[in-house]
Amino acid sequence: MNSISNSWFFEWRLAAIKNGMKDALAYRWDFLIDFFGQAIVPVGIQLILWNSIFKQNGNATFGGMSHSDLLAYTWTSLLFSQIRGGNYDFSLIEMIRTGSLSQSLLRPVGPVEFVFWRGLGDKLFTATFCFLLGTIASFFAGHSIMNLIMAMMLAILGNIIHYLFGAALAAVAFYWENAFAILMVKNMVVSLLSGELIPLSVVPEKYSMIWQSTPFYLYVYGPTQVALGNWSHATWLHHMMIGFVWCFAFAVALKITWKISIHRYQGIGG
Amino acid sequence: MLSIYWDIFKTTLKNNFVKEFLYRSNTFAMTFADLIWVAVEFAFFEVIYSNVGAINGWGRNETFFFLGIFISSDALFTTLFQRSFWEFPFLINKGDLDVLLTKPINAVFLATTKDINFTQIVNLMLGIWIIHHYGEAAGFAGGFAWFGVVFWVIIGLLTQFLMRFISVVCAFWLERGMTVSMLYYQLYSLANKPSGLYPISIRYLIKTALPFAFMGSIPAQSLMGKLPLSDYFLVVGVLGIYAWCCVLFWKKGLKRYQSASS
Amino acid sequence: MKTQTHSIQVQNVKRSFKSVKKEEGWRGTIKLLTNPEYIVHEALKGVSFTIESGEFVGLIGANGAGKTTLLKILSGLIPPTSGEATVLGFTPFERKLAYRKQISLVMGQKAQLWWDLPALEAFDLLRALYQIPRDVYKQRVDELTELLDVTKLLNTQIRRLSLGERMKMEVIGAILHLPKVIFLDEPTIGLDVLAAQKLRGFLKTHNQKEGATIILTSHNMDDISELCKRILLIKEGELIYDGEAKKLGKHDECQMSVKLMSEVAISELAQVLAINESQIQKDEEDPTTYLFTISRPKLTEYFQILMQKYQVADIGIHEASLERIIQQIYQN
Repeated sequence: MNSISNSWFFEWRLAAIKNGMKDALAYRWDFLIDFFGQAIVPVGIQLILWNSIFKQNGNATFGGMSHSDLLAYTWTSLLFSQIRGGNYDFSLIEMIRTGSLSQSLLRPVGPVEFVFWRGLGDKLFTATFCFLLGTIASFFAGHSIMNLIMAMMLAILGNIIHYLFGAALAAVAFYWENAFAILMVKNMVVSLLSGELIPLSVVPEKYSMIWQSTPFYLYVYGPTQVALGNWSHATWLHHMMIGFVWCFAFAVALKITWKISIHRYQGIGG
Repeated sequence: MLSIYWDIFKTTLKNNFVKEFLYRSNTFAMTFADLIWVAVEFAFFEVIYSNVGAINGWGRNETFFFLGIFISSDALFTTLFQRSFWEFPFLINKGDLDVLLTKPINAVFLATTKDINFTQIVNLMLGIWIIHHYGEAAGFAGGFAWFGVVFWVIIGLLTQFLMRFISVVCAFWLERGMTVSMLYYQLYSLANKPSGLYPISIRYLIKTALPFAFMGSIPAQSLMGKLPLSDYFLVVGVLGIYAWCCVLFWKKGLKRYQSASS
Repeated sequence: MKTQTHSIQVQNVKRSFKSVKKEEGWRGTIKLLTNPEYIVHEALKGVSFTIESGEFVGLIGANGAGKTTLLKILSGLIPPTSGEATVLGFTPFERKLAYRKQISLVMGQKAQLWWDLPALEAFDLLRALYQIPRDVYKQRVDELTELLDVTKLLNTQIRRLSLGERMKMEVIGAILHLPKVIFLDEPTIGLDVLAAQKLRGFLKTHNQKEGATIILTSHNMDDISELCKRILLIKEGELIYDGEAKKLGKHDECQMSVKLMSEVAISELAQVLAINESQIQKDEEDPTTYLFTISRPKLTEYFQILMQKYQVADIGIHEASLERIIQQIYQN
């Protein structure tokens, strides 16, 4: 009995990842465009921006960072920005809105976790590509393997926090028709406060409280600092701990919001 | 003929208004969310300009003036068309366009004016306030020049309409039309920064093939009296070509759609 | 644990929905913002019944009668406002793991399979979700697809299938794990006669072979009369009939069709036979043919009266169809 349930533990999750991957690859052109848009465009725009600020303006430093510092940051952050990049919470609100949540609610696995694994499969190709690109870049930059591993652990923790947060927010879809606006704004705030757009160290001191009081910096900025060797092991451990606290807090929030709001679900349309 | 269209539009307007009121808390939340978006835009430039002075002639005031225009034209587009465009690819991929094609009214008109988003009116007002607030410092004359603001906001609206239209008709050729919409919004980050922040090649790109500059940079330059005459002709030319492409793509796509559907 | 012979028990289940009332005009719109008025709609007004395991039960009623609400409560999607429902000994809305593994819900208007993937991929994921051993799974897929004639379509994207084929795949996906209770919400909606027939045959066999309890809602009376021994008839949130489908109509009632040589007013016929006008219908295609719904013992008497008064060209007697009976119940 025990061994069956143990193997099931992995089996359905793997099956969900596989299913999501196949879904992502179902159409070639759609996949390529999606890939281009998510992996190449954001980083491209960042590189252009730094180039303008330094080359065209002749600045020597920007917020205490040299041009090469910023380039190293951008390339390394690519490693982690795709790991955090999942938008599976959007699938949840879509399911609630259209009523297709019904089928998922009646399956033996919870819809929130199911959507996570299936979404992970969808994201895996882009994330792997970015990971490889980032690893190659890191190799040339001479980052230590140990730092990379530690950074990745932090980024994965960040990914889980991000989803728990998004899924907890998605519960508003039980009450509001167009809940996607909330998730869009969350993503906008995250893109700024995670360090995906700009390194958080250039944020003026008086505003630094803002990003420090959210968990978002653990997604991209934190891991990048670890990979670049800017954070000591002790600092890394400290932030891992903070991450676990956030993780726990959002897990509780998720449980509560869904438990309350599921009563509102009416399984629209037949 | 025109009165029929106006009548339809009026009804849509009323229905959407009722909808916003029916989902009150949703409406308030959306308004709040829209404001956060503006705050994020400002925060980004606040960080940049707390570290550097001007970039290629775009200082803090010029950039915020630019943002005011960009936010206004974006808000106008979002109010009138954004939701309908979001749904557009689904109409094509799920075959629901059939219903619209059988109506005695232009299908594009019906598809693009289905949903109206009133929450963005707050952003529109905010955008105008920003223009007013940073205008003087940026070199905007005010007074009659406000007609120029109206003109350019409408140009921005038209530009975004045409660009979005091209991106959604791609759904005729793709299985999941949504992907191009997503790509559009990724590229949209080229629109929300003043063109001076980009190297020459990108600056050229956003004035021609992807005319994002028409939504903010070029209007701001014009209103600050810094736009070279040749660029006015460019705006007319590029929008003309875009409009022509829209008609062409729509016709070709429709042919494909009708021959493929069962 | 005591043995469970009742598969489903429902006791005095009520469910109401609240919605905002919108009044006409702009004033009404403003009122929505300042002081919205709510309307409470009672979808179920205290329904009770039990269903034994292995039964095939038809749940019928007009649109908005409360069928789907009941089905949602039983499957565990929504809780009842009051009253108690148990399915397989579980409270559905708790959605315990053991419960979810034993049930299945098929909605004719909603797909559970993934639009862009072939059915086989979806089945494989369902296999993993429901822990079906691989060999059993393979055998079952072969068997079920064979029975429904869709083996060749297993590798085709769901979106490329016809409605009938897609529905067959949905049903297969829903019963792969051999659920003990199956909720079917209009499974034959939009299907052509042949496809619907095929699906019915399949469901009947499955019910007999596996002994699953099945609750079916449908507006297609062929579904009900062919599959369900027992029906639950719901009208405006109340259970107004629970019993054998055969006995639904007054048992002694039958239909007599009479073709006369010339046209006669219905009111005159009613007067001659001393019955209600509502018991007489004119044939839509033939204005001289009349359909009488009458009690069986009176048959000869009425027949004689008609023969005396009019020139009768033809006569026929049939059992009242389920459709006709239900139509009458709705109308009264």
